[in-house]
Amino acid sequence: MRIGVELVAALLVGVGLGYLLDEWLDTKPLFALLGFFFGAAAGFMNVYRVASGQGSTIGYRKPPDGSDEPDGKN
Amino acid sequence: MATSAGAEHGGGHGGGHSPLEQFQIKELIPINVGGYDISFTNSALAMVVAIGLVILLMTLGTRKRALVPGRWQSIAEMCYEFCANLLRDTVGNEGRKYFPFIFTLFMFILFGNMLGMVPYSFTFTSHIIVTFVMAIVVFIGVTILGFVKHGVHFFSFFVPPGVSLIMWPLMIPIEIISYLSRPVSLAVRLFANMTAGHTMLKVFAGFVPALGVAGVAPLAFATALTGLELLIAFLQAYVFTVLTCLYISDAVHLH
Repeated sequence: MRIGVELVAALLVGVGLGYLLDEWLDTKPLFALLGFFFGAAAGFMNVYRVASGQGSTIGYRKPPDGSDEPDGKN
Repeated sequence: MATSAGAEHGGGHGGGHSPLEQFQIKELIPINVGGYDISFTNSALAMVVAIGLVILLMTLGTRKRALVPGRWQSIAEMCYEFCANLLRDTVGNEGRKYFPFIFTLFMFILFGNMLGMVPYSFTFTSHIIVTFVMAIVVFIGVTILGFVKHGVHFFSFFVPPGVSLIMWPLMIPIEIISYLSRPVSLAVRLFANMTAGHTMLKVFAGFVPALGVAGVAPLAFATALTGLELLIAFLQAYVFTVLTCLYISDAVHLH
């Protein structure tokens, strides 16, 4: 459930953002398409982050002492 | 509360109610201010009841202030400690000042989800606009917090560490979308879990009278599902709160 939502949410945001940019700049399919691919990439990134136990933190940096989080906090 | 409202979208297999009827918003007290419909609905009533119950629990629990807690005080202390530990584990000591917000959020969602488990009641967390507003408040709050704490340095959030300069034009849009997708996934997760669970419960309950004697099987299943739903009601309140804590933690300790 969590993974699926993560994937779809990023895709929706990507396409939505692209669509709005298109409406604004009058460049019909360009940004929506770009947004689709960036959204998909962001979605996979989110899924990767959840799966590797980094939470859904963006800009995450491994703790300096190298000790990984013992449990995925979710 | 089986009103005639279900008939208009129920499809019409004899006498059965639509499993989605439970999510219908009904106006209780129509209010109209300046062209905006701000009527008091059954959803609003459920929220008021949830808040009332939380206040009741907390005042009852803290009234005696005994050294050895009674039943009510134990419940109140358990809720308090649960949230406090959650916040301490994820944010650390700096997180203390966000405790009132986290506690309110957790109790509100928890009571909303739990109230939804009472037959004939209304689950306000099963409406995406409610969960989305909560998520967007968290999102905007956390973003403002990040800016207040770190100023322009907050933008380094969007550059993952250890990425070469050539990759920046590719990584920054991805990270921004990833960041913007937070409130969406936060809202959709809670909403989808509550809606799906309650619909499934209703569907299986609908099988019971339809199957006659064999209805024992879906009845048993619906009973088991009720237990699962109680777990999910708690779990989703927990997940929403934990993710809020994580977002606060991100904004407070920027890399």
